[in-house]
Amino acid sequence: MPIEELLARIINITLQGLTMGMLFFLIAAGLSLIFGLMDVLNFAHGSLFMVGAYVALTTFWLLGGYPLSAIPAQQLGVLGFNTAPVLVADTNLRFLSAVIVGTMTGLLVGTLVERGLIRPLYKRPIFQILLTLGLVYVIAEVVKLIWGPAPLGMAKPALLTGTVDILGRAFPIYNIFIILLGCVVMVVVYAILRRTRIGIIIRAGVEDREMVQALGINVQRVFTGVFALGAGLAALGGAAAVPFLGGMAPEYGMAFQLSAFVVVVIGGMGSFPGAFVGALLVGLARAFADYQLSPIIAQGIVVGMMALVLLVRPQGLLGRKKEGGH
Amino acid sequence: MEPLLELHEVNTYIGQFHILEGVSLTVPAGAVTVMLGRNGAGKTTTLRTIMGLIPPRSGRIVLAGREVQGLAPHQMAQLGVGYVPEHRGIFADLSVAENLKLAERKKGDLERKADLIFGLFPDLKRLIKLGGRNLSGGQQQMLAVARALVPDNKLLLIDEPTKGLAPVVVEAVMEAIHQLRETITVLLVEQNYLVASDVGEYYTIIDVGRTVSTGTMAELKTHPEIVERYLGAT
Repeated sequence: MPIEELLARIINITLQGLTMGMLFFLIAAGLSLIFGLMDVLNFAHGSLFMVGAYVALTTFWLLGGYPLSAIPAQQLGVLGFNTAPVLVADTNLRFLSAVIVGTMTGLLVGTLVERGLIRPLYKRPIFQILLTLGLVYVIAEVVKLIWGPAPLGMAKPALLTGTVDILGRAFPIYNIFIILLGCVVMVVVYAILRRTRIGIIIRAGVEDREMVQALGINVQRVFTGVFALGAGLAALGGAAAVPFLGGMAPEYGMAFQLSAFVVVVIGGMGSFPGAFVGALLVGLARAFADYQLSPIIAQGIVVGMMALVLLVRPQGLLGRKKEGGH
Repeated sequence: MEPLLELHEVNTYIGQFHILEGVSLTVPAGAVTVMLGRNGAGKTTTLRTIMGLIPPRSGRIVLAGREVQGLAPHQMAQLGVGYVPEHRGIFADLSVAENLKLAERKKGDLERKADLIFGLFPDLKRLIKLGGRNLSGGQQQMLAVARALVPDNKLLLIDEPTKGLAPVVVEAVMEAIHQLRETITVLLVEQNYLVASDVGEYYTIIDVGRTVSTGTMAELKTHPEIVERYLGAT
């Protein structure tokens, strides 16, 4: 194979891996912070990713004049059913609105879940795990009830449709958007963690929650904020993922949850930069293994990476062993 | 002297283990009270119980005339209790400056106390941007004590500050506590009797979860048999 073609192919797969990696990052970042600060292993985090996706696509179609009852019947490309007035004709605005509404829904659901369900069980971690596991099934069934079991899609906004030529190979502009979105989220949240008081509290709380309380800070209030932020990021990931994946189905939440766990273990529980590095590594590994071998082997390789990290450096690549007080 | 802190028949359990079996003690205001006792006597558990980190099963804790048993740690801190744990509790991911800033309860606390803190621990000024993980044990201890001085605390609970430290650092930390004693009340857990007797004005001895002896340090110095019996050394 000529070197230019090989290079083009490698770059293409790398970008594909980075795109997947950024989606993993959006779910894993919140999961990692939630576990690091609150010791809550949220099995329902992938469900929040899914909720964000479904709310976003529903918003997208509603704004486009498709009544709620018609949405479960929609498949991407079949656009003959808009019987309601078109509220927002511009697909860019519709997409932006959809992503915002999807993310805010994730924030809200996260807040309600933490205050109503997780908080009463802080001193009973086993029940907490069971609860979040139960939530996975409940949310999946509710989604099926409202939207049906078939995958539903969302059109790409006009601005992000099409491809760019990278060394002779076409690469979707939408994928570049996801990569940039992940980078922006990384920079913004990292800046919050590094430069604001709440960020200092979160970083300190991840290390030694008890000491933070002994300094006069009501960590419970911070918990709600962190849980909501984590849920919001997952929902944002879900909303952005729909056009990339070609659709969202109820079982996707669990699939992404698994990948998010792998990312968190590899990157380090409680480490936000760790979630970023872990996500990119997993995304790239899957993309290359998927291309060279098969999707199933790719998944196996990723799990193998996790096992290796657990054996060699159990706290993760950028994680730290916790201090007392947990 | 008026007591700032009183414990009345405090019983604390850790799991099923009865660690404090009716501990009673008094901490006079504006003085350093040293809590002495062997390993496993219940000294750290007493401090953690006062701080609300372990809720007592029964008994009363009175701070400045107010019953505070059952309050959460952040509430105890907001009432003016500073805690310097045995493991120091320095946040490795935060810089010295961030560790200090985190302790602020009102905006500007650190600025107001900067002269006091850096006067007592001048090294910390030099190390202000260094990460907590890069500090030596002695530097971490100084930071832990300094952090407790940032807000307007009226009582400091300090757990074995000299453990594992070089003599020169021990001297610096004890000198700081000595200088503070007129402005702040200190309850100091210290296994090293010689160090404790130098800095403390009052003492309480805890043995197997019970208070066995209290009084002034001057009195204790005249009773070496008490020291020998409960601490195993003079």
